[in-house]
Amino acid sequence: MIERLVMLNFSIGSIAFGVLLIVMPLLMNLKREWRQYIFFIVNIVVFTLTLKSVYAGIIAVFWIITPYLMAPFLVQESEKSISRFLKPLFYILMLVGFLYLMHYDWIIIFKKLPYFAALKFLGLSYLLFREVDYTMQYEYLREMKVRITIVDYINYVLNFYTIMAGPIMRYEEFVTDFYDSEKPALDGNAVMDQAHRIIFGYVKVYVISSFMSWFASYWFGRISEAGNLAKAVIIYVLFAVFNALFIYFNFVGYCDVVAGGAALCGMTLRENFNKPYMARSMTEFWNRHHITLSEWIRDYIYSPVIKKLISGPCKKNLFAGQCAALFITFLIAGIWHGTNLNYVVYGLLEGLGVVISSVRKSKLQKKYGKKGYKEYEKKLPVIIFEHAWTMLYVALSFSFVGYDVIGFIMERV
Amino acid sequence: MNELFKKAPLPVKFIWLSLELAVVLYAVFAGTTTTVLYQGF
Repeated sequence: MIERLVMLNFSIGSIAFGVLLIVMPLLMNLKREWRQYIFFIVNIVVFTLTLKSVYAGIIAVFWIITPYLMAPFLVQESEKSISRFLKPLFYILMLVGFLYLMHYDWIIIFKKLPYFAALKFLGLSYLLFREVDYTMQYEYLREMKVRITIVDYINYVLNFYTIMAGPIMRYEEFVTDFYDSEKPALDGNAVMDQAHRIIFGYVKVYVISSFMSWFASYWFGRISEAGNLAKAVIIYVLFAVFNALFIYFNFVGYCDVVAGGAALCGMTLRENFNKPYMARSMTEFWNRHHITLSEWIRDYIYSPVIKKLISGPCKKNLFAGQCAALFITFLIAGIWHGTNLNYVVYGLLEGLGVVISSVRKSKLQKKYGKKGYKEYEKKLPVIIFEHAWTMLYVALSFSFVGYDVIGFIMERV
Repeated sequence: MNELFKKAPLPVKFIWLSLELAVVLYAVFAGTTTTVLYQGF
């Protein structure tokens, strides 16, 4: 495999991204009619420079253009139209391609297949999310007469602000926002506010999350020295809490940087966080944390799964169907987060946590009635318990993100 | 923090931004080893 000698390092901490943060607002405000073309060129150039090899480029072109070309053929015009076979086949092929390129460690068949890391390209996951949204919504977009051109499609999927880790915009909201002519131009104060959002985002990533990461690593390294189980549990909890805070500040900081950068170019990105650690249940947590991912999985995993379940095996018990759909959805979302076995455990814990939260709520509502449940929720001990439990449960599940906890346990068993 | 910044008078905003920028640059050049999570997958 021929690998490129010069490859652009692209993350919010890279020089290239820093230069774009400053240059893009100037370029994008040159002339309103040129905006989409300037953005198109920059997105293509950035993406091309990040490719690891020529072969990755070929695969990337195929990966990006195919959904655009296929979308009209996936619309089901009638019961007998070819799209009823084509649509599932298309998504299965996309999924297989994605799994192969991501190369999940625990999928045994991958161990027998040749794999070339140089074939992977920037933002593979997030490209998939956007392509699924575009193809799934294509019929609606056409009906609503939403602007669809190859330039807008490329700007949507390759948007360099969001290609790395979201937020996951929907095609309709991206295009509507991009061409919103009634949006007021940024004044001096608004520019200062966005500059602050960007710099404070960097403070969150490079200062606050850095501290949290240091503490998490420190406590993780001390678990084996605990001596007894009780002490080990306390140290593990400390590690898990600092690790959860590291993940939060790192990701929220990244989102602030890209949202501020995009705002300076006249684009509004979706907010991805809403004080997640104020949540009182796992369900609420996922409505506040990585909101755009939660909404994406709700629309494209949970909805089809629950439809299948309540029209089939869970016809007589809708609540069981709901819980099973929640579990499957969060398991998939967890597994997606990383390629090794730790993320499978993370997915299982997330799924279990959301199901426990739904079952608990349903049981309490049955016990107290809807009005009584509202009163129960207002009690101080309940408030404290729910906040503490959610924080600890999130920390426990997040402890499998970024650290090889399974390897650590296996070494000692 | 963002809301507080929005309400601050202009000179305070300049000082605030400069201080934040200094902190970030110091953290970056002092060699913080923080990886930016998730990016690029």
